[in-house]
Amino acid sequence: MKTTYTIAIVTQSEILKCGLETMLSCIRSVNLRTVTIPTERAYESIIDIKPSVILVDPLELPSEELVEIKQNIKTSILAIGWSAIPDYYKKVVDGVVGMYDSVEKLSQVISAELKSVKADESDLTPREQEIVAWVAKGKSNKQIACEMNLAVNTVMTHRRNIASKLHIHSSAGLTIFALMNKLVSLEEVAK
Amino acid sequence: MNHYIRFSPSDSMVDLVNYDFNIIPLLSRFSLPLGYKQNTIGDVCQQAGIDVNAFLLIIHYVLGGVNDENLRKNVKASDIVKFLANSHEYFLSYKFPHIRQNLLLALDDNQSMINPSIIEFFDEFVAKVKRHFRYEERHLFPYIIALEKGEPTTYDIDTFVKQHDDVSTPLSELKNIILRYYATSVPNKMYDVLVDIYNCEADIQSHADIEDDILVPIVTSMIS
Repeated sequence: MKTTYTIAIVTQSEILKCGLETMLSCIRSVNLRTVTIPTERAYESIIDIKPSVILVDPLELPSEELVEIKQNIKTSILAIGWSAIPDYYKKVVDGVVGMYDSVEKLSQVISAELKSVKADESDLTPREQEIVAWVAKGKSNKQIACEMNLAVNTVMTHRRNIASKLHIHSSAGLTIFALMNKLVSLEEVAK
Repeated sequence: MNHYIRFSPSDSMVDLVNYDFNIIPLLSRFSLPLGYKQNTIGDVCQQAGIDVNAFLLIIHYVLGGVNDENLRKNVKASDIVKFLANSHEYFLSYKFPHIRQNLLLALDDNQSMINPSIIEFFDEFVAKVKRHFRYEERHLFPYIIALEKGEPTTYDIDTFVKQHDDVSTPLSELKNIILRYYATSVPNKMYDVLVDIYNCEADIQSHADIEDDILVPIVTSMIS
């Protein structure tokens, strides 16, 4: 089954909205679902919907809100370049969609962004890698919490995230994964 | 799903296999001898000492997702037990050793660090399934046979329903590990193993479903 990605459009301009929607509907290489975000509650809606890519009109969302969105959800933000975009804004977004871009260009940009969002999802964070290594060494959640100076609940949350990223749930399976990715040595596992 | 054609005892056994070859592992679990000639499903079952209604009930359920209540009324629990016990033997004595052997051959020498843990993982899975099967053979099956004969029993079906858990999870995990993370430069044999593991996982799942959706209702109707 092909995954469907949500693309959010944030603008009050009807012409931008309709234009982007039409262009996005021409993209066939990936399954896209387009949603228009109401500008008055844009931030809350975005956090709620968790779109993979956000196309934002720079007039609608200040850069601080974009930073905050990035801290809360895994997403890629592209500015709609209908006018000159200040550098501080460009620094916050992942790219710019130009007014004269073709459907092919838009498709390429979106695909590249989706790829980077997806890669982030399947890669373990350094902290998660550390936890996998402890699991492979035969430590319980409680022991891991002690070793890493974390709450047991936090370790359990990490374990859940690891399981959903790797599709491996058991300790034995994680041990094989840890060995394969050299997170632990054979001697450390045998101990 | 396509419309499922119902087979009857007078239909040809070969036609049944040709209709949907996914039935083959199931025939293997029935230990049905090959060489069907022009024989009907009824003939083949009779020669093999298998109750044809039990056979069709299971076939309809696995192939068509049809749990036929009328057919179920005419099937003895002991005939389902016979099939399930036979399936246990098929998995433990044939299927698992077969997969293990092919897995050993498919492992890449360049991965010698990881290979032992993969085999260990598989062996632990087999041990777990074995415990699961043996429990059923020691408690559930004798209880059902005794119940059918009207003899006194010490077990009850509710205990089974409460305890019956999914044993195929580790297999699904092993499949995932190999599919996603096992790098090998000689993948052909490993692809074969993956086909085996996928099939085996589905077979174990269907085995558990037969217990839950066919055996349990028959036993429940016996005691109520």
